[in-house]
Amino acid sequence: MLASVPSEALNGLEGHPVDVEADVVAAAPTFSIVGLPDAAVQESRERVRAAIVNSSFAFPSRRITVNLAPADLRKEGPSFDLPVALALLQATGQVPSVNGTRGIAAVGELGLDGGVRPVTGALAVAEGVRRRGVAGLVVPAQNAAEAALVAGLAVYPVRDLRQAAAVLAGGGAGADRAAPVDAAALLSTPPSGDVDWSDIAGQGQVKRALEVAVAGAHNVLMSGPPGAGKTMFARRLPGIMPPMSLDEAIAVTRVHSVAGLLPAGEALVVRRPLRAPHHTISTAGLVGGGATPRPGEVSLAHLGVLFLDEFPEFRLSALEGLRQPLEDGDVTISRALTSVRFPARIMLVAAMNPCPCGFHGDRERECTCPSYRVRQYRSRLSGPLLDRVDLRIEVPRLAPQERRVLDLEQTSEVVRARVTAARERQLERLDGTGAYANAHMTVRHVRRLCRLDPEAVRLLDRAYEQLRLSARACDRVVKVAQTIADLAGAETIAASHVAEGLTYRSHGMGSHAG
Amino acid sequence: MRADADTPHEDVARAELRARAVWFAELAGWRRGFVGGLAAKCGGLGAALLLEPRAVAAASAARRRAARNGEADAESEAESSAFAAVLARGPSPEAAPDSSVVTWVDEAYPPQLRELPDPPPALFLSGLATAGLEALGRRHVVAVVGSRSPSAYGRELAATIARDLTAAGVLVVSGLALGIDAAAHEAALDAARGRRAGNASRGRPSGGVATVAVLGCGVDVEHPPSNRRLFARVRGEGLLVSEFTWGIGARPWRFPARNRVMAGLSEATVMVEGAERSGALITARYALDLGRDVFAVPGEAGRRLSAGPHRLLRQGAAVCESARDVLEALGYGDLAVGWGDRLTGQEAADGTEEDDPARRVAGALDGGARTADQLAAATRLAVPDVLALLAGLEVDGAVEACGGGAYRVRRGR
Amino acid sequence: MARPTDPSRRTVSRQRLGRAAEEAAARYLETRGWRLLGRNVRVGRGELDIIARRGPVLAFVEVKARRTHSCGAPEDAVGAAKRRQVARLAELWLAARPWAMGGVRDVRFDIIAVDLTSFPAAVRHLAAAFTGD
Repeated sequence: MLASVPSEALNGLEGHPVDVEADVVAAAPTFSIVGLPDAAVQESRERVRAAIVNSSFAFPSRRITVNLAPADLRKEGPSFDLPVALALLQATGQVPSVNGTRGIAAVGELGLDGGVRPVTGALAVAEGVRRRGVAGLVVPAQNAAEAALVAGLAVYPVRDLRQAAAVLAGGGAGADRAAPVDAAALLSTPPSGDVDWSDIAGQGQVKRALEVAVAGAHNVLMSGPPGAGKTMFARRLPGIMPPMSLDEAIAVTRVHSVAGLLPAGEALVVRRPLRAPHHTISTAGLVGGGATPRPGEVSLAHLGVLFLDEFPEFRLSALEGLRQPLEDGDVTISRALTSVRFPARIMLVAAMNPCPCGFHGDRERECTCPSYRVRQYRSRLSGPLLDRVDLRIEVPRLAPQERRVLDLEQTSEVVRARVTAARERQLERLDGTGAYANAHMTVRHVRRLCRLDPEAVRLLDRAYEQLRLSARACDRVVKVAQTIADLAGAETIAASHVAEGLTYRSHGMGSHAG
Repeated sequence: MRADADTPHEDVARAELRARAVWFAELAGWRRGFVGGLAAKCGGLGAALLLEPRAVAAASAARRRAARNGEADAESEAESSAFAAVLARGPSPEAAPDSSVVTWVDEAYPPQLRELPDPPPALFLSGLATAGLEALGRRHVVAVVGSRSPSAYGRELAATIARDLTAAGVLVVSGLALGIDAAAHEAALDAARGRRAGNASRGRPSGGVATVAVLGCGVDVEHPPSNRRLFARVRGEGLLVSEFTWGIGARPWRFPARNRVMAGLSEATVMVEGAERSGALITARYALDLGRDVFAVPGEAGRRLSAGPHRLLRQGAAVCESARDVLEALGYGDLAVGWGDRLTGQEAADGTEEDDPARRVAGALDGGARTADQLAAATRLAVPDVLALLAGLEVDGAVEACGGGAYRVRRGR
Repeated sequence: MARPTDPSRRTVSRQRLGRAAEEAAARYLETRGWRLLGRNVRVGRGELDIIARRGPVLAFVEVKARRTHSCGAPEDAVGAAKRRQVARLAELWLAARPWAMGGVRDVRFDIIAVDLTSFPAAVRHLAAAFTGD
């Protein structure tokens, strides 16, 4: 007898419809699955067979042929165990097909005991199923919350094969359904954190610079001796970042779900991500890749912050791989048969010591590096990457009296409110451009949308001449100045905004190498 | 701060310790290496000061001559008997009046001198004693040294450098010898006079020590005689310092000893001119050993009187073409030229606040590199405003970024 | 009785053992309602020990005899190669006889292990002991 259960295959973040067909005929007993890679077939067979038997169903002693259609689509992973088992049960009549179960899809891994195990990418799967027009989806219970984010889809959480079979048998009627998720409520709960912006003493200029950076999503390079507090700042950045919209949260959740990073039972990533990979990370780990393309750190930091501490220690190949995401906002990973795209619109925060020993330019400690080593160290920063850094922030070590200055009023919440307001102004201005923050404006956007006061223009001209700025540097200054103006709630960019923006430019690596 | 190993016992009265220190200084004046040897045996000057005078006397009772092949610096009869007499007398509190002696035990002892491996137990003073000691402790101190028979070039440079340093507020120290030393002292005295006049016209308190001379003989001995007038000037407007007690004459071995004290008092030593074997090289050597900056003024290739400085340069001394080189190393902006006047407009003694924020920021940059945070604190402006002002000053070419997030007044204007 | 060291004797012994086991297996099945469709059925170059039918189940049975237990469980004596052969032969047999599938719902490969060390011989029947893959 022939039975078919709809399911979904993921290529990157995109789902493709799959039909799991099962044909059982009286003939010498064999169990073959076609449409999966070789090694996966054997494993899937063992799991399905054991799960069916241990769920007190009968495993047919007949020729069983299971086909995952379409054949030319790359599928993999254990998430087809459940639909295969269900199709089998239907083909042997152990589970009746009521009203044709075209209306209910299934996805899930099976344990030998018949239990249903969670899968990665459940949200993307659910979205694909909905797009296809299927009305219901049977999912492992731990994935139900994220699947429930998809509107218009009946989500049936199941813990074992028997429960899944019951859902199919009843056509979904009377079965437990996952409750719809109140995403808006989740997103509006304030982040509880044990770290706060006001924890950091002194460092007013660094705080100001980072506030500007976050407001406009500008890429940042922090330079300073060890122990100056660069990591402390990085950890507190998510606290001052504006809250995500629902679309943004879903985009982030999708990536994290596919990477298997969504904690069981959680529906949504509510906080902007902060990813801080160690500098020994491989290119594939940072940018994405692997035999089955998986998202890299840069995609996991989508719409959030990618913090690269000890920036010059990262492999050159890994840093080179950042060019495309910094330019385009996504990563394309090509394989022989397919290419996969993961989103990667990030705010880059790179941190480095000014030299190998860390104390070049420090006012108390002496730098013990020979000058050729300092030059060598700095030359590791690739030009094209530095080109994408809008703000260069020096984080000096504080003198003892400066360490006692605490500004308890400027909490993360207070700063975040300012940043959010500035971001909203940006969204208004950038509506329709595809950019969501000033940092992502192209040169055309800048020319068209940024309005400078006459004094501002004059100052910029003088700076261009006197300080020998490149045209690119000027554009960067204008973008930053626009963010500063947004923070101030100004309609146009004034000279003081441009002036402050000028202080954040890269002064060139060698200008104070003395 | 006193080195831990040399911390005297609290029980012994400070006055007694002071007296002993002076006694040691007297003894050291008459017999070369006396205190050094004693300190070495006891494990430091502090420990040696704790010895009972009788013990000290017993240890040195044996009459010795510093017999070295009958060299000129062998101890003379007169010196030997002076030594013995002082030894027998023991320490006497009356021999240490506060105003003319500062001992190793006193707070006012110049702290930088304690870094010497063999610091003088006491310094005998003549001139503006209190102000002088205070200046040695508080101001930047630079030694200017060189040949006793320099060329006109050397003399002129010594004078210019000393004048500019003094105008910038640096305390110039030298040995009151003929030649370079004298030129430096004269120029410093003149410049200080001009500075005082300027202060008076602005209604600021005058005063300030013009220069400090470190002697290789007692402060009441004017050697060489041709410098008599200069001695008087320094005594009147500066400070004379010696580790040798009153009456001790100039002997060859006392000059190197004096050189080490000069090096010990100074942040930097500038050698202007000197031959291959100039005594000024000894000062430079001491400075190097103490980790202080050493500068040398270059001259034409092969010039005899520049052989000394060139040797220093080869050994890694910094080039000094003007006071500016030294001032940079000390962390000064170029206050004497151009922006200088604008910048010195903001001084605490003034009490008047600048209205123009740009001037406030510029003024707060007086004395070195400052971060925006520090400037914000000093001017009570908000950090973004300070940053904007700094950018404006930078575009004007008045300030420059110098690493660590700090800005400073731009050099070379 | 001749001593068992004689190789020809040993072979004879083994054959006799095998036949005895098959007898026992056949009797076992029949007493349990199985209808034997064939014994030692030649298919191509190979042989199927027993083909039997009971209700909707069609079973191809491999029989293994053991004199002692020292060589492991009898079911392990049917190795992978043998299993594949059985499956292949079964397919061929079925292909040539479409009518044989009438009323058949399940097709099985069974193993019957006969332990001849005890008297009467102990018979173990492992239903659906293996599949064709």
